Amino acid sequence: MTISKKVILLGHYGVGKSSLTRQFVHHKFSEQYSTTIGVNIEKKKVSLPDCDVSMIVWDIAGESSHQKVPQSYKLGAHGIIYVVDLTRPNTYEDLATEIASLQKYLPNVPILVIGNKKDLFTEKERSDIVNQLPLSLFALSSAKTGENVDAIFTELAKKMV
Amino acid sequence: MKPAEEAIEPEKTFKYLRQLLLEDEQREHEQLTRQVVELREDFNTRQRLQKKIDPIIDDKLSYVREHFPELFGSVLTQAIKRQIQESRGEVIDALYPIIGKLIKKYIVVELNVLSEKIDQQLDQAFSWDMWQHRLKAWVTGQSLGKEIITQAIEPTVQEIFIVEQHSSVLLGSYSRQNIMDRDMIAGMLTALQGFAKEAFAKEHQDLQTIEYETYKILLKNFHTFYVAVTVSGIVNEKFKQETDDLILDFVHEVVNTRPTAQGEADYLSEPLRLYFSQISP
Repeated sequence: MTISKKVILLGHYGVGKSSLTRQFVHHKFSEQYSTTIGVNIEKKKVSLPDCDVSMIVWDIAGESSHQKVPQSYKLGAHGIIYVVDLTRPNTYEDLATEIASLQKYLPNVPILVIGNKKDLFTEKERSDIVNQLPLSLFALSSAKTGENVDAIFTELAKKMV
Repeated sequence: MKPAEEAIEPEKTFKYLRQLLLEDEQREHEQLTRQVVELREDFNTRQRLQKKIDPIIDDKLSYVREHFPELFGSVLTQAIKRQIQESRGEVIDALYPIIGKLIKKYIVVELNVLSEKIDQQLDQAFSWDMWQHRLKAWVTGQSLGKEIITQAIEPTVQEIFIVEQHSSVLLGSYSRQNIMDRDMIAGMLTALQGFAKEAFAKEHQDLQTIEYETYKILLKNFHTFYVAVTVSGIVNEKFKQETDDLILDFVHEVVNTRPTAQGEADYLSEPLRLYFSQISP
């Protein structure tokens, strides 16, 4: 049985939402930055032991707060990946407020908070940054190397079914 | 008198005495026993019990039937009200096709058909095209009617998508040709509808048509889902209304009669294919 689920990617602009999506769906990465206008939709099937999950990924244009994202893009979401850029503190300064507000807006929808661009730091630098974060991250990822990307989406698929 | 005869005598006398004293009670006792046996038979024999009880039940039933509004009216009204409040979405979905169809049939269709007829008559009478057609028909020897029909492109339904509102989950689709990923189309159509709503800040208005070259996508919104129909050719008002009615019928007859499959992709594809292939093979 295949179950369809809407997944939305949220976070500031330039944190790597589109790169994570591209890496997950097409296993590709580009150094060139291109802004997402509105929303880009991709699809990928994730196989779980009991069923297949057809993930309709809504890669939404970056905004400093999810409240600036059109409501209709968020409504009906079954899962959320909230991405922060470990190199830019302003992308996670309001993380706790943002997540609390999202949980209120979409109750019972699983939210995975991801720290992207892992590849740009040493182990020591990474742990220093992670300790400064207002919330604990679900995982650190690198859209460039693909590290943890599939695992994050698969984990979200499990949480959604 | 012998000793044995002496012993029998008082016993006989006592028996006789008892008979004399308890005669009435004994009769009553026998009567009661008979009645109890009869009653027990009445209770244990279905037909006999039915014979006794049926008239009482019939009386009660006809009383309830006659006084139903007074007896249960307020309770029923409350229950229906509560049911409607608790499942407003389903009620809207169930009523929408019927209400929509009625209104459309008696107001919109008639007005548009009338308007089209007037336009057609005016166009036919005075248009330059009509003179060209007449001239061409006169030169080629073909009938004018044939000439006009070949000019017109019949509208044809190419694809139908039923998509869950907001989540963009494709509930069902039907297509005459192989097209790109249907889930992606459903996603983009949903995003486009959302964008139009947000951009023009019209919460209670819907995007109804999308046009590209010779194709047109007609959108019909319901409470929990929407239907998108891709049409090739020239879409006139009559075709639009007919397609609208078909969708309303399908929703009423098929979608609303099925239990919703939460998140299960494509569960309406097969009924959709069957329904529309019957109508337009």
